[in-house]
Amino acid sequence: MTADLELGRVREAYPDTEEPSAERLAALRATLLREIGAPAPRRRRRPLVALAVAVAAAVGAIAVVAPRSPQGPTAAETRTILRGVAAGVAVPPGAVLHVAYSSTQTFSTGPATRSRVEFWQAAAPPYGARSISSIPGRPITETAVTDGRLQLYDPRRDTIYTRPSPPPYTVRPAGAGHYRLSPGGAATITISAAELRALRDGRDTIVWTDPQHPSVVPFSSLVQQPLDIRATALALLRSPHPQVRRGVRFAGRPALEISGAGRIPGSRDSYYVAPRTYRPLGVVHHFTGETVTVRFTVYRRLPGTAANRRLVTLPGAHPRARIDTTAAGYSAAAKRLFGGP
Amino acid sequence: MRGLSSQQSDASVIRASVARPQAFAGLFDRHAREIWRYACRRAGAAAADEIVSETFLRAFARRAGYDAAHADARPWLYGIATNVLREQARDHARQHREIGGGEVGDDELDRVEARADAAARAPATVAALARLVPADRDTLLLHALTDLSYEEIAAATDVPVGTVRSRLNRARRLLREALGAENEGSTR
Repeated sequence: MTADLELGRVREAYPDTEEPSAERLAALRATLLREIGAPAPRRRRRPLVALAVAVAAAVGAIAVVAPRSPQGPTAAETRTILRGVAAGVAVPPGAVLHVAYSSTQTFSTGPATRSRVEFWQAAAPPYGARSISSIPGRPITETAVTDGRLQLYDPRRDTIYTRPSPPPYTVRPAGAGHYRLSPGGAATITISAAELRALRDGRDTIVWTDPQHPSVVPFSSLVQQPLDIRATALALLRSPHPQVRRGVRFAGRPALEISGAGRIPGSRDSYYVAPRTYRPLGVVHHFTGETVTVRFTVYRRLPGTAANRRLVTLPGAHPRARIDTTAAGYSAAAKRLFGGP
Repeated sequence: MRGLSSQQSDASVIRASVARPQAFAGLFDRHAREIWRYACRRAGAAAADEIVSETFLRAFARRAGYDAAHADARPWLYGIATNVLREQARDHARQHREIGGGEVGDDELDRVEARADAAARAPATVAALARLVPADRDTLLLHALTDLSYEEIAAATDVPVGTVRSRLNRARRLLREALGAENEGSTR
């Protein structure tokens, strides 16, 4: 074996496959400047315009007017922290978000439920997500949303089942930037222009909690249970007065806590990140007697290579699986795998 | 970086940052990506953030003592990053022993994941590297994973260039022997 071959073996073991995103480097840079106590230099135009676009696309405008609480950072520090956290949540177009987490769901009236979830989510059209979920005592389930349609994978039959297409909906203006959707039957939903845009480009989808009450939700919420992680974090960052606390601990680790009104009216969420890097650590969601605690074990952005894009879909992950698009097949699979209709 | 020309050497940037701390961001802009990729290859993407952060903070703290004779600061930064990687691996191993293999932190999971990825790709190579003494392993990895010259690796690890050569020779010989034995075993 020659020296070059030995070095080749080492390089093969530690391949150079991942690049840090611009947002990631910008967050690290902001942290460095904060830690060394230097005033933030005037923004350079080109890289930070790109960063601003990516972050703004992810979180919308973050207008923070946060008074300084006795143990909290100043309003200026809070803005810097929230920008860093937003950059940590942002996923560049084309990239694939890969997250694994354990969650505990506690109720005031019953026992806690624990689960583990791993999902891959595309951050640009065509939007999609695939998720593997395990709850103690139940079979592991694997689901995906592709082109706005839910799919299930049955490993015993090596078959992918696709939910039948919903009937087309009609849209009528409902005044003041809102629209009324009739997605079938007598039921209607009134949604905002932004929600309609998200519905049309595939970021949101319509679900029926019961036949009379359809609602528009992020497609990713169909495969992330019990909490749509990214939507929760983004809603918190967009909330009017998020509060930042330093010096807290999450799962035994030093953390920054960002808390505020949650995505669901009446809920309150706290989001935890590493103090220096703003790396996501976890989320705690409170809503009427229910608490969901999510702890990330993996949170990374993969480059949008063909191989990584395949992780987002069931046919990509199981290329030899049979595909069943019949309503009867889907219904039977849902009953087998989830015990539901 | 405003006020810093791309023609300026790293040494000039570091010298400027002694009086103006914000100038140090110029060094970050030039080299953070490269250091991140090195850290990512060795410890995984999520751990790379912490390693880059710690590397530049330590570099900032030591900037006044930087030897201006070295115009290029990459060997200095690689050396700090290598020390951070080694210290963090040691700390994580110690913490893991102390908690008796119980709850494992995220950084540890990242490392386990990165090691598992590497081991899955090249199990014999990873096993052989694990048997090297840390100084030999770090030298070999700096040589294999970066484009530093022998002289620059010597600057990064703060040893004479002759020591770099002897470490690389020893590491390569041990790796060759281990992989040769593995190949023989697999063909029997």
